[in-house]
Amino acid sequence: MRFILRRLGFLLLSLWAAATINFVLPRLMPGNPAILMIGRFKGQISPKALHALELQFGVTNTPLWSQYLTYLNHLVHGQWGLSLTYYPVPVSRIIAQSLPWTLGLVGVATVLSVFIGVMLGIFTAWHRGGKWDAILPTMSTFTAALPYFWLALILLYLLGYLWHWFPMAHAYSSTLTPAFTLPFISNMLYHAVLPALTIVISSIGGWLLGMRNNMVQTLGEDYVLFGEARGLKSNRLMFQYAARNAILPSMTGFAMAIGFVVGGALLTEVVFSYPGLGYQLLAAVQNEDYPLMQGLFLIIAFSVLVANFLVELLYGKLDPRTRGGASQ
Amino acid sequence: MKRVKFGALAALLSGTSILALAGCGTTTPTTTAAPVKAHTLVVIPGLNGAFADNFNPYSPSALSGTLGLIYQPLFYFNLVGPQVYPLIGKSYQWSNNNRTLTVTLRPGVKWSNGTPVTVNDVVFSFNILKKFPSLDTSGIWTHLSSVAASGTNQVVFQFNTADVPFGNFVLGDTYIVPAKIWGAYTNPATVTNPDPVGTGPYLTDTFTSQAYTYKANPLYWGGEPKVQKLQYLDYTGNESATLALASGTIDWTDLFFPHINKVYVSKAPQYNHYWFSVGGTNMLYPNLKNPQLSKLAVREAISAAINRPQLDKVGEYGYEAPATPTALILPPEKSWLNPNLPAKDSGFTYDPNKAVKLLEGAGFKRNAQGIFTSPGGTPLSFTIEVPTGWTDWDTDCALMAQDLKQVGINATVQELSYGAYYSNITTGNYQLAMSWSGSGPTPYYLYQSLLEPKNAGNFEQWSNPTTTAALNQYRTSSNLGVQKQAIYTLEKAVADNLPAIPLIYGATWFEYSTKYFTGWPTAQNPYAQPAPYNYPAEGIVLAHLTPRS
Repeated sequence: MRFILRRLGFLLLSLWAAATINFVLPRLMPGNPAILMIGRFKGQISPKALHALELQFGVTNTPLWSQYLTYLNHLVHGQWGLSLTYYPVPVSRIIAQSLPWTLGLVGVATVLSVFIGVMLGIFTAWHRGGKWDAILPTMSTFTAALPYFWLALILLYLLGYLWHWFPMAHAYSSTLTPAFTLPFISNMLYHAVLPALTIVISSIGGWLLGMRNNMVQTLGEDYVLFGEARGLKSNRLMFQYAARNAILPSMTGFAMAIGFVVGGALLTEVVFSYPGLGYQLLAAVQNEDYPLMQGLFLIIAFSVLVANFLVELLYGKLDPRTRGGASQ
Repeated sequence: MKRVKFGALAALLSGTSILALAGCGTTTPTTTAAPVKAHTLVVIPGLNGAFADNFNPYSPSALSGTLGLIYQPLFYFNLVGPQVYPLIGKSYQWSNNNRTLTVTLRPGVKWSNGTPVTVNDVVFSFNILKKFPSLDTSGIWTHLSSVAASGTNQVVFQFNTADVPFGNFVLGDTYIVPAKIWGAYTNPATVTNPDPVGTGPYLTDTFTSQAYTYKANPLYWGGEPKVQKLQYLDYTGNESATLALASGTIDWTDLFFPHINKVYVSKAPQYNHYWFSVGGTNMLYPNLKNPQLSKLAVREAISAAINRPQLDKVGEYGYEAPATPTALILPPEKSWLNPNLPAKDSGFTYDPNKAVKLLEGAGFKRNAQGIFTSPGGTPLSFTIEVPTGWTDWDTDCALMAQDLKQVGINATVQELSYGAYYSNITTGNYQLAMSWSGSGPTPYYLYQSLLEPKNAGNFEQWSNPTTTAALNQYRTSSNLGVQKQAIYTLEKAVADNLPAIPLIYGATWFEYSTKYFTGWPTAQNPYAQPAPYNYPAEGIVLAHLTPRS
């Protein structure tokens, strides 16, 4: 119990630190959102509009500390304000519209790539020195080195534009309206293939290599040898004896990866014009959209911290040594 | 153990896909309408993040089409041709020494909910800007003293001082909204207005964060438009948008991408077209408070040293022609060009030797590094500021820095974030900077922005009694002859003094397909500004289109 409380306290402290950094960093950038709005229009709105826009956006000269207190107060009450890029649309609505797409696409792709990567890692380690052990890790080093967006562009051009196998953009056909129907869901999955493939291909290698190396090391331990001598089935030996221990570092990596899912695979989403959080994050930073930036970064920080918190709890179960003797 | 893991994974998978479905933010349910008869016109309105349903005419980030398709001003003044289109207004007249503007309204205009547009709606649309200064992006109430109804079909605007060209902001830049709806909001700036009621040719139809549609307004005063349905698509990435355009699924857009003939036109030469109309003059602004740049010889030398055709070919892929010494936006403003303009003022010539001679003639001497130094011992060394990430301008500036080094002027490019760049050029805290010009239906708007002392666009801090008097002469007269004389004076002043150094013309990107619709604006028939983001012109363009049968 004390273990959990201590972790919880740490979680709250980290959240406060993240919220504060969130507040300070964007305000250190030069200019203000009204100026950048004029820049976005590249001459279509006259500079005369600056005053009106500053009034609209509430660009104030009140001291930073009082802005900070208001910000914290609003945050605690769940008020994230109005986005300036999409003014006057509330930040919460923008995030609610984009987050599910990102969670669906990047989340599923991440889980898939971790699952397949770890399984293949276990497999190649078990058959170390074999044919697959020669091919898969070599391929992995190659795919892991491919930049996301480059791979995305290649897939888009070949599979989308030249061969017409997959749609080139969006999360579903624009003629459809989202609904819980079979045609829509299959259409959505069809659209998700290319972006998901990009993420899976470029991240699977890391998981495979990590798992394989840990697994090879564990397989050399005496208790595995002992298990084998006792005549255990190879499946039981592979998963229960070796993989369970070898997976611990990959679990930490997985927690981090899940946390970062909400940040979106920015470049993948932009290349495929996928309506997720990736582009919103980019737009928020480019337009100095403080409220949207704060909302997005807060969600990212929150999910990274919570995912870590959960994995730490899980870790305590998987590996009692990490509880540091403080529990019970 | 293994089984548990699989189970958890399955739960996670299904959980995320449910979330994904729950979040497809729609607000309008589909009506499974009768089979589509007419082809939907598909638009990519530039690159955007996911759409948010915001049809607030006062919001700078309102969805494309809000201004022009839904809401209309009184008139539209074409910036690429001579036309003036009466919209909600029918005619206007200046009186009282050009201090009173009287607008007669078009009879029979209806809001899309069926109620008629009254003179009170129009008066309200101006008074709301006074009540909420945050909506007054054109600064209407810095010039107006009152707006009042006269009878049932006239509105009378009283100006503080005579300012005929400012009338265009009143007539063409203020959108008319229904008083009944907008009078009820306590803060109109924060309304997202998902179901807008306007006077324009289209009505909102469906909305998702990835695509939204408009349908023809049967009550439109100009008659129901022939193009029945419009679909606006969201693209965040230039790559997927360009490929969609090349594959022939897009009818109208404003994308910038290199090698347009190869990438787009050649894919279907009979249908795929583009016209990059001229929207402004991009210039190199010298800070005239800088002791070296305040010397005319130095500015002339810089101008002669710049290889403008190279900026066009290398920096801008041949899309933006070299500008001319008067800075006039050509060809749209060619009717304003002084017919007796000396030949030297009708075009720049790239002449590095002349640049060197100019500097030598002004008493500059080369130092050990080959850089010209003023008689007082200051070397000619400048930074050129440009926003980072505006790749074509960044290239232009790098090219100019090379050109200047060749003639013995040391120039370094400084790429800044837009915020830093903008505050530097508006506070006079720079040496050289590349930026655009003002623009409007006549050259006055460019010159006023550039030359009026203490004006927002007067980055170079120019102040001169001759130009100020000429601006004033134009402003106080509604007589075309008098206005032309004023413009001729300004043309000469700009060509002779180079308050800013014109570089290349800024292009408006515009690609269109004639596969399903014809009647688009072209260079030969520039009846309206062509890009989908050119509000309110996009409504004019759509009204000119005819579907192919």
